[in-house]
Amino acid sequence: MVTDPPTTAHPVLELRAVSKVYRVQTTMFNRPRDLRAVDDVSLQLHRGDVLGLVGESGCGKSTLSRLLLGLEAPTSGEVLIDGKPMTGTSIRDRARRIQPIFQDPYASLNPRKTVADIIALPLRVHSIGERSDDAKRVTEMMDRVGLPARMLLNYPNQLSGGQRQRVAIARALVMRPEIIICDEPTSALDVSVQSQILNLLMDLHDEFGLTYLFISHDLSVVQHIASRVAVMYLGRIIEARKSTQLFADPLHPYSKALLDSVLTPEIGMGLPETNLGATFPNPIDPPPGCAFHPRCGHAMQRCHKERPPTLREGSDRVECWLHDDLEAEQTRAVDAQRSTAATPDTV
Amino acid sequence: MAAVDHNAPVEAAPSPHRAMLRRALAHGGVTIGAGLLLIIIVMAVIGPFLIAHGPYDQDLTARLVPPIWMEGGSWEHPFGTDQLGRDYLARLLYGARISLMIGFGTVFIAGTIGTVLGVAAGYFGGRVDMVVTFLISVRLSTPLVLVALAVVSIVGGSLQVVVLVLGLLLWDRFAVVMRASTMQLRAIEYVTAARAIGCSTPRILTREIMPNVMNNLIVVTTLEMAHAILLEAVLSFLGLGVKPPTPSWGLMIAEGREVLLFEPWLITIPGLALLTLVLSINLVGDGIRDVTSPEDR
Repeated sequence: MVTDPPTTAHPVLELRAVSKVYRVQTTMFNRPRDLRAVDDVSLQLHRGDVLGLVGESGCGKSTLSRLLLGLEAPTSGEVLIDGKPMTGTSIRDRARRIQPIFQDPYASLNPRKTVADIIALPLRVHSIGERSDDAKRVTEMMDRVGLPARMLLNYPNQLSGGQRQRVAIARALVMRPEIIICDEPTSALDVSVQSQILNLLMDLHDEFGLTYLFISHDLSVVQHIASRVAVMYLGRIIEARKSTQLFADPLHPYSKALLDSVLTPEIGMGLPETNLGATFPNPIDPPPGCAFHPRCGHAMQRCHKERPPTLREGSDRVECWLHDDLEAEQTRAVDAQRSTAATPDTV
Repeated sequence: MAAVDHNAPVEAAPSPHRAMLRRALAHGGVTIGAGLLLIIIVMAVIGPFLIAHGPYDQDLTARLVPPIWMEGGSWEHPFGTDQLGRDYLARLLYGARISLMIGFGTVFIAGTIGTVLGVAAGYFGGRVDMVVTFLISVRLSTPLVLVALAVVSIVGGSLQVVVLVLGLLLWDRFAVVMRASTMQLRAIEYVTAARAIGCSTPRILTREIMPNVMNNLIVVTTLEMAHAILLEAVLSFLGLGVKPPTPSWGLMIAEGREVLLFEPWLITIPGLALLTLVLSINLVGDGIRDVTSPEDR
């Protein structure tokens, strides 16, 4: 372990207090207001991690992925890849290390291009290898993702949803990036195909030593593949813990409600009651104090006024007054562990 | 993961273009429209070589000869002659050339301007969009025929001037349609994917956006071509289009106006020709819209 190159000490992908604020002009005559799509998010992904990012629609998951890909610049904070800040670097520079897989394989492939052209695009753009080798690399990649080589010259409209998603995966991997942002990669697919694609993603994870940020609202999928889970609410990470721990014992009331909302196939169970109410707060006008307090069954006086503290370091955290003491204790424990252990802990 | 059989024969994969062509051939409007248009183009190109008379040859002894289907008509002048004894068929065929040149020339200029403005506005949004939207509004509030009349009467009418003026005036629909369809594509995932790969903006515009807005561009092109041909006819009818000896269909109608009550065929023949040309172009345009829209899901 001492002989490890120094780069492995860094998380392969790190977000330091990243925020993204949009100015929103609601009507022509109002003053523009700020929408904090991503609010003070800190995350660390170590090599080989699969971090599941869950949360309701509109909570900022997709904005976060756009920030990571460099499609948007953070308003404040830093994104680091291998310990190097990405601020100011072009999308092109980070494209070789971080690639996305999108939700809808019907929208993510240009209908006017053949499968071969789609998969070879990253190679051409970055002038990787000789042009004459493109075909070889493409067929190799297609083989890896389970696409027969005879589909090389097919167009996306001739493929099934699962096959299309395989093409999108091949395109993302053909440059051999280290980090893959999977933005709900299975939610647009038939249930029967979902597991095939998930298994493929996990096989590729092991084969290429990839690091995944896996954005999803499907908790069963996240539980199945993620090593760590971060729960997002109104732009903030409110709980981030080891997957097994979080699913066994969610600490934040919102995480609990999310887990309770999973539909179970048992007969007679009916629809789960989450006590969340129907109102998702307006992100332009978030509630004061803890953003979750209007929907929280455990809200105390304090929650209405003060925001619970954000913890930046350590792998476990909960942003909730209920667990104030517990959290402090845990951080101390983790810190102690870290300082004694020589191995960088990836948890 | 399925075993990959590299020896499997390459599947006959009809490209989207070929599939579309097949659908187009099955579409009545497209086949009729394209057929008529093709006939007109072929006649405009080779027709004048096949007939004995030139479009400018006057024969004052044979003025106002009626066409072949009327009493007194002869095969010498199948469509008759005009007031100056010029062969009407020859003038009609040359006039087709003028109309087609006006149509193609105008949409080339207008299409270039409108596509550049519209795609830029749709893709970049923000300030660029504001400026382009303003330009479109200005153009839409400009009375088309009045401006064309004013410019042509100042500069003087000729084929080039008419093409240029119409080209600079008819870009608005191109800009509106290209802006809207580019906007739809700007946020679509394959464009985002191309950006995340690191493609340059020109590459995204030419390889990802343009091929996918081409259908709409073709439809607008046909509609505007018909529009330009009609406008030229209007300008020529008002005496401000192409200059008199040039055989333009609008001008032929204008010249026939004096004898409308006695020799109505002087107007109905070029009028029918104009109707056929514009109708065929519109049929093709509408057909292309029908044929391509199911592909957008």
